[in-house]
Amino acid sequence: MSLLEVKNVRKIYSTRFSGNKVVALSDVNMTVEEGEFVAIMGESGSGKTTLLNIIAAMDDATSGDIFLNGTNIKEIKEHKLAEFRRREFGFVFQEFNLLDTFSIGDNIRLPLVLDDHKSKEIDDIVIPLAGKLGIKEILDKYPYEVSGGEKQRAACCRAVVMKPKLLLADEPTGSLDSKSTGEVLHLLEELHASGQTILLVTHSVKAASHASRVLFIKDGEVYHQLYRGALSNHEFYNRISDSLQVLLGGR
Amino acid sequence: MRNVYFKIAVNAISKKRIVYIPYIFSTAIMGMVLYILISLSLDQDTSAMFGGHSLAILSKIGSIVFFILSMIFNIYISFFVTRGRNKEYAVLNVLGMEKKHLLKIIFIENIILSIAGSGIGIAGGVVFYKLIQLALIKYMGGEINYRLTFSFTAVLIVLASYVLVYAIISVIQIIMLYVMKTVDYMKSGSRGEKKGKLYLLFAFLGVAILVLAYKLESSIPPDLRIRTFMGDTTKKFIFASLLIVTATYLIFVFGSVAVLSSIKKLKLFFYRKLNFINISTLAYRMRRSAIGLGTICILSTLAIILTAALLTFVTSADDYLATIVPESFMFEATDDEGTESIMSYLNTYTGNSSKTQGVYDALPLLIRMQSGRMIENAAVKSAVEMGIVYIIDEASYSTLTDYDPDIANNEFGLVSNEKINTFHDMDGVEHNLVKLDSSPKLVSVYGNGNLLVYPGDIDMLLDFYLYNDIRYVSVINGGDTNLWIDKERLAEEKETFREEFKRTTIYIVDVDGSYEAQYQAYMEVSGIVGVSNTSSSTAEAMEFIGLYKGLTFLCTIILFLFIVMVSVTLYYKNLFEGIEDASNYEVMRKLGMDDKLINRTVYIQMTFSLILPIALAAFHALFSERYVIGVIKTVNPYVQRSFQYLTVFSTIVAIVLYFFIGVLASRTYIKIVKGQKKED
Repeated sequence: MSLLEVKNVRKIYSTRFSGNKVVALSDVNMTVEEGEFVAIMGESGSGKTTLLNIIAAMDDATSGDIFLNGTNIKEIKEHKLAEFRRREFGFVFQEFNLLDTFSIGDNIRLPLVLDDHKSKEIDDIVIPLAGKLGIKEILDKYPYEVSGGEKQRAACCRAVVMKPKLLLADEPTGSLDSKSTGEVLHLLEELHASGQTILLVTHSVKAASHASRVLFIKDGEVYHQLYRGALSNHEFYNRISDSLQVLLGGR
Repeated sequence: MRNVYFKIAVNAISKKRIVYIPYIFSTAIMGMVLYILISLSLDQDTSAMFGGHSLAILSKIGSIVFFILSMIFNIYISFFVTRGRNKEYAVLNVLGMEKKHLLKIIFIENIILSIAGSGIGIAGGVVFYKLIQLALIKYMGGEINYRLTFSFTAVLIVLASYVLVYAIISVIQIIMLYVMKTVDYMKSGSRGEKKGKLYLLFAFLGVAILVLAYKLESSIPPDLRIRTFMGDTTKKFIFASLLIVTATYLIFVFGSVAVLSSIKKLKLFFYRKLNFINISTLAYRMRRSAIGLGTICILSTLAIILTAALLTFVTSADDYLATIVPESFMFEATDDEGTESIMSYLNTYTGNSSKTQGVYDALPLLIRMQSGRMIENAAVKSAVEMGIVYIIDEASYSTLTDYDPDIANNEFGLVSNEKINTFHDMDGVEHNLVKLDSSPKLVSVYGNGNLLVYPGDIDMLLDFYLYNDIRYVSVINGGDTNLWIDKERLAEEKETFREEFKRTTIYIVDVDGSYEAQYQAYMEVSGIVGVSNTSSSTAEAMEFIGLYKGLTFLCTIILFLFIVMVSVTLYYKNLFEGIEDASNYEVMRKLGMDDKLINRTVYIQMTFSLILPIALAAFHALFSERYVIGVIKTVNPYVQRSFQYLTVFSTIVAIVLYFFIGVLASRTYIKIVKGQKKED
């Protein structure tokens, strides 16, 4: 059984007054196996963020089903959704989404606190993890006091602190310079190597080249995928670029 | 090009309706109330009512106090309103608009806002003034007329006040525009909480200042005398109030952050989800909302004191009326002729409905109020230093107090607020002084001054004085205090003295009928020759009732305004915090925070932001007791000392009221925070 199964997911937005319908996702089918690092690539407006939001149960699909570990997300009751999200998913966003009201350390602690972990447990988890991700020194600082790369590493740390089944990353390098981008991608690779399943949404070839599989989404459908196999990052990068050139030429 | 600025200004206002419309209405309410208060102070119809004169004076004072308060409030709220505009100015600046062009936009905006605010305010004022005037006339018992009144002077003053307020706001905005760089404007407002030992230091300073202020207020004597009331005590109270305002802001701005930072170190407590989110959010917010909370605290203090004082005043009013109403009026007569002419006049005027309730003798003596050491042969320097001490007989005292003082022959009874120990004349004859209590009735006949109660018949006393050539009595305060008699001067003026030193009889007359009829009789009697020192308790009662109703009315208006001010402050605080926090809550929601938890954190933060200012306000109010009671005593000497209970009661009322305002404000906040979800 796959960790994540997306079956015939369709999402149509209709405007409130005119009733015009916009198809964001027409018919998406895909799976993610446990321990995989999957990247979803597509241009702006291709529906990749919509798909991510639906997978994370932050938005409803018009039709279709999403299964996580065999559980249909649609069937989870509203009041259990927040807990489900907290325990099963970790999130990394393009804009880091660290809360200004919390220190870096408290940003990382937040999911554990929300999950009612004991105070002693919390630091037993957070401090070693922060050490592993190289942000131990900035735990007492506030988001405005650290660099973009450090912010994103903190966001990654927060995303995995609950040991989620699936780490969802939405353009995590979109707001970073090339050095920080490299650091964050390396970090994602390390997390993947330690057994973390990752679903990355990106339009950056460089970011996608760190994944083990790349899905291409266009006009609301997954229409192609590439497996890394034994290719190096650089080789995979070239394969993705080539595919994109061919694929973007028309279908 | 000129049109462009106008369009930008109008667009900004119409796009941010959620911000500007409540702002325009809150400034309009200020203008409306100012118009009403000024009109009341100028209106002839109002002044013609009983107590109307007092009401006019109170309205005048009220309008000045209110103008200052509303001006500060408007300027404060304008900071909230323009807070979101800075980024827009920066973008316009980057796009090539010079600062002078931005100034034009600001200027046009302020003109639009002031015209809208003053226009609605004055229109509302004209409409509501008539309604309020009618309600007031009905309440105070005047003659109702439906003629529409319009005060041009009030309109001018209100307009001038708007010009002044917006001139100040414009100057502040201009300074900020020139001081801040574009890059500062562009930066988002997100900054973490400030750390540092200075916070703790300033917090302690705030507490120390507060303790000092409370000590100062507690040092005000419990029984304030009117004579000292307006002098040092008021200065002391104003100084203490300023200290309290400073301390309040220091405590909120620095103390709150210091306390919250300390709580964060208690991990067992802090790492619980509600505490974790609330404490972090409050610590972050305090940098901005502390000023708002301090303002809510100060406003609440004023509102609680005003309510408690008003309730104290209202609940004590009957006691006062009971002591003064039984007699229609009293007059003093020094010969039988005067008395007879009055009594016969009254019989014809009131149709024998008047009756003499009591006749009291009194021997007025001039006294000198002198502090420090005793000065022998001190001459009377000026009339200002002079006062009157009445010497009354034991029987009068007993009748008026229902208490038999049992004074020995070599003693005098003393009813006085002064610290007087003995009474002796220059011949060395010493008379022991027995301290006696006053009674409301005694005060209604003889007033609040010093009374000497003589054990025997007052005619004998007169002989005693004449025999001993007593003329002046000096009351010397401080240390050993004696009543002291100046004989030498007396010798020079013996003859005059004999003439002046006549026994005075105080007649108390009761006339049947309404207050108005009694008052009419009093007015007639006052005109009769040969009568001196007429005073009417009915007139006093009517004037008191007028004053009391006028005060109640004014306090109600001012309380209403405090509620508006607190509501508006809370509205803006929540509106802007909601806008700023919306993205944070969205992130927290993604991280697994459910809506129920969001609601709970919002309500807890709201409760915290309301309870703290009210709790501190209640303390401020309790410590103001002595002075406030002193102020009330200038109007009603028989005030019941229930101020503390009424303060607690007012605080509870404020909490209930704030709870409702808080719930409404929280809803606005939650709506904004959750609205973010739908927009995505």
